[in-house]
Amino acid sequence: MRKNILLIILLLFIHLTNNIVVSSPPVNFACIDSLSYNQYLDKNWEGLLETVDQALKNDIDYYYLRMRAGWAFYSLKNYRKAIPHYRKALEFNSNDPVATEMLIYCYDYSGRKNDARKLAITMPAEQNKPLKNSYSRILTGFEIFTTWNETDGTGIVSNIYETPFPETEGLQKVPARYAYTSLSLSHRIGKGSLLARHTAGMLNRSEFSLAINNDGLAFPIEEQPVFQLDYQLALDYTPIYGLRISPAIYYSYTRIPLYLFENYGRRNKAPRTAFEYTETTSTSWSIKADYDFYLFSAGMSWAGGEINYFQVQQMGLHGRFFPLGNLNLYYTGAVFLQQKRHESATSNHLIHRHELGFKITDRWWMELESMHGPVNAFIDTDHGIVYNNLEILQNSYQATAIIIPGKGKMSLHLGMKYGESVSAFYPDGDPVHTINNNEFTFLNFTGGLIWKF
Amino acid sequence: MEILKKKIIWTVFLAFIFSTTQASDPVEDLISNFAASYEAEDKGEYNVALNIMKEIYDENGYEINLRLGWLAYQAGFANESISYYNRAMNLKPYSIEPKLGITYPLSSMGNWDALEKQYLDIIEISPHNNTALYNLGLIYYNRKQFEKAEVHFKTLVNLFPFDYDSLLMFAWTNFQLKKYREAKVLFQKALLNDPDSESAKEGLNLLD
Repeated sequence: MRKNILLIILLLFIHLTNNIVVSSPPVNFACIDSLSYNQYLDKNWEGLLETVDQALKNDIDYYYLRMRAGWAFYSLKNYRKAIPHYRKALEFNSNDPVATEMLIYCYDYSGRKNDARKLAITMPAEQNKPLKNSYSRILTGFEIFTTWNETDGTGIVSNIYETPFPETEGLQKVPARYAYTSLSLSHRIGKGSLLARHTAGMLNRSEFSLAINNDGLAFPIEEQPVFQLDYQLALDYTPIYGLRISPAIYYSYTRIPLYLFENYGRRNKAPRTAFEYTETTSTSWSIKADYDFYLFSAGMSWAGGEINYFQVQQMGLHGRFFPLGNLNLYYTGAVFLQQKRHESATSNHLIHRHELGFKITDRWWMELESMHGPVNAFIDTDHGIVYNNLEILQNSYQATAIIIPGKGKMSLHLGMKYGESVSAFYPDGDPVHTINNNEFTFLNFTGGLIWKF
Repeated sequence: MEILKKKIIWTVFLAFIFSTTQASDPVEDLISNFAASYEAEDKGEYNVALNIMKEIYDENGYEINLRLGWLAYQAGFANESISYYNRAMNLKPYSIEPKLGITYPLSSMGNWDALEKQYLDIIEISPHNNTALYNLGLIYYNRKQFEKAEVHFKTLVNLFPFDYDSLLMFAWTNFQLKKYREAKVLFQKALLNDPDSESAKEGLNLLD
């Protein structure tokens, strides 16, 4: 009997509680919308971003929410984090002029100028004609850079003279001074987002040169002038937002006058008469692909060509990190695996570079860079430079000040580079294995102007 | 005797439980729930109204889904509202009611692409639906797609030549399209309807 009563009570309890709805306060659209709007009006960006996070976790996602989130990050100058929100807003409202304009600014202020241009070009003119026109110009940029260097290589030259000359045919150089100037012009190709960049450079260099011919005769020249012209054509293509593909070709023409043994150098105070000129040309290529993942970008590069004695192949991994979501602080790293081949002999090298950029004031940035080699017969796909010098750069450290006067379209670059290098003798038969390695240091000074149209 | 007594007690008890859990008449329950939900809605108790309707939810019930779409929107559940309206649309594809209903949560979220699609669907079924024509015109106007806006405002003004809102937006659209003569006439007509219209006066000032 007792068991039956207990069973009845249990059944009654289940029946009575069957219809009781237990609910907790909902995270619903109306609450999120009201809260986020008030936070937007109060400029409570941190609170607003928390609300947005909560909304998204509860599958509440809509145009106004994304616009508020985008504006919050934009106001905090975290342009890279604003980008996905404005992109999502455009998914809800594909022709929205405000979201389009904000996204263009975020791309531009994040250093993603190609993406800004691509979006602005596709924007209907009636949305914002002046903005569209500012990104639709044919000419997009102009640069002029000059580098000069003076190296005291007298110690090495003395070493070379004091050491018996190699008996094998080959060449050794010790740099003395050089000046290099380059001009670059960038422009659009067609009506899309394809850009071309033409760079022409001129190098005047003076160096100590020791050449040994196949009879074992040595021809030391204390001040050998070298004249070089180079041309680079680089393309920049953004097929989809965030992806950048940059193929390039490099061409250089080098002209070296040859003097009679007794007619060289300032020491003899003899007039120089070149009886012949050695002319060489070199062609190399590269292709780089980068993809932007908002706070960081990653890429790969491939390059190759014939530089000095070598057939060069190299592969690079590149990364860039923006911890603040803007250009106020960034780190760029690259690792290159290079193979140099001469006939059947090969050598493999690892080269890595690191760059830290940061803002000092609204008009002054600094970039600190180091590169660790051996850097020789190297195609620098980040800066578009071919290192065709015979010296082997082991380590370099560079500091560049970037000053932005006026309205921000122009920037002045002033840099200084300290390097540790090696002058080596390259036997013609086996340039992969150098001999008579002599270490030296150098100091470069760079000045340049970049003007973005 | 004892066993018989127990059986009787159990039978009566189970009959009681069963009777309180079975619906007496499905249609009656439907009507009474609808009525209760209207009552709760009138008092502003949207969550209560929503839950009343959820008690009798039938995913194949057009009216229930339509009602839930509205109540969910009122209660602040925009996503849920959209789901119910979508179900109602699937149940009756040629009905304009859920298409008009879904525009409320979509516009509160600012999802203008989805909103545009709904209005275009409405116009396909009912080409002279003035709500759809006007709001679609507004969407295009705000996007600065003035040629598209012109088409819809023109249709509206042809249907309602003395409607203030239609006249005013058609005037502004013509202004943006640099059709200044037409814009002037339309601003003046808008002022006939509302002589104090600041917007129409502003338009005429810009044309002077």
